[in-house]
Amino acid sequence: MYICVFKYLNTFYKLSKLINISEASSIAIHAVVLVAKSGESLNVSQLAGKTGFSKNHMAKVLQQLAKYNFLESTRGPKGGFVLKRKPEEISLLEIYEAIEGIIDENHSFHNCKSCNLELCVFGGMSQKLTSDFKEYLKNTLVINLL
Amino acid sequence: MSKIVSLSEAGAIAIHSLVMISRSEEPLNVIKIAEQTSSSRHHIAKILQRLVKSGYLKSTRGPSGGFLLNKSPEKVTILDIYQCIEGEISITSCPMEKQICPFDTCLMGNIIPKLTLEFREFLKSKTLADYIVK
Repeated sequence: MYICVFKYLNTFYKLSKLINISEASSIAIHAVVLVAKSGESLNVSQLAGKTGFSKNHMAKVLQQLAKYNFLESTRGPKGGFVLKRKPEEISLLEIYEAIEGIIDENHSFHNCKSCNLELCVFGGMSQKLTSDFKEYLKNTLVINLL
Repeated sequence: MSKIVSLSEAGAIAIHSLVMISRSEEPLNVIKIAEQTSSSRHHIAKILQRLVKSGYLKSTRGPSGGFLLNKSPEKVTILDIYQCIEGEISITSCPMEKQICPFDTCLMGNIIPKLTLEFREFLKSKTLADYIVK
């Protein structure tokens, strides 16, 4: 119920986010899991259709996933993408960092050299949350999501 | 390097300024705040104006004029300040705010709403009074 209210409100005015994950990384994770779940290859249109992400963006991300050897493309009329590595050997963290780069656990909120706002106001919260997120991704393997 | 947790510069300026103003016995002006932080005077001025409009600060004129806290420091939480500038914090179940999803359970397993809530509760638990060292 609580979450429905926010979704409704969201259509009227912009709500702010504290935690941001990029669309590209979300596409990558969804695509890999969908391909892993599917018995056969899935192509750009199918993946875009199932997830609601744009074909253009999906195509770009799939290319990157193939480059990093998570997926491989198969040719022919029924061509598309299949999983290249075993689902029990791929963690969400690997997928995320392949697309976005290594998650910086020591990231601080702001670049103020002459003060310690980070320490005094936020008490290391940013580092803790980042670390928790990274831990979740590291401990979740594709096989856990099938 | 990528980051997950982000605080807008405007939000950071607002929080930083209010903490500084709470700690100061005399009014602080934009110049003094700019000296202590790495933000531009223009940006700081804009934010302070917003805070005056929302009732958190009052401004005094004259040569030693500047900004003073308009509320009791125990009554102003960091969450209040952040939301005044950035709007209410969204805790939607889908991080991408998608209406449709091919999965029964979110692949991100609730981690995003969980961490957002945790952070929000933390911001709510801190008031300006916590940062005034006597």
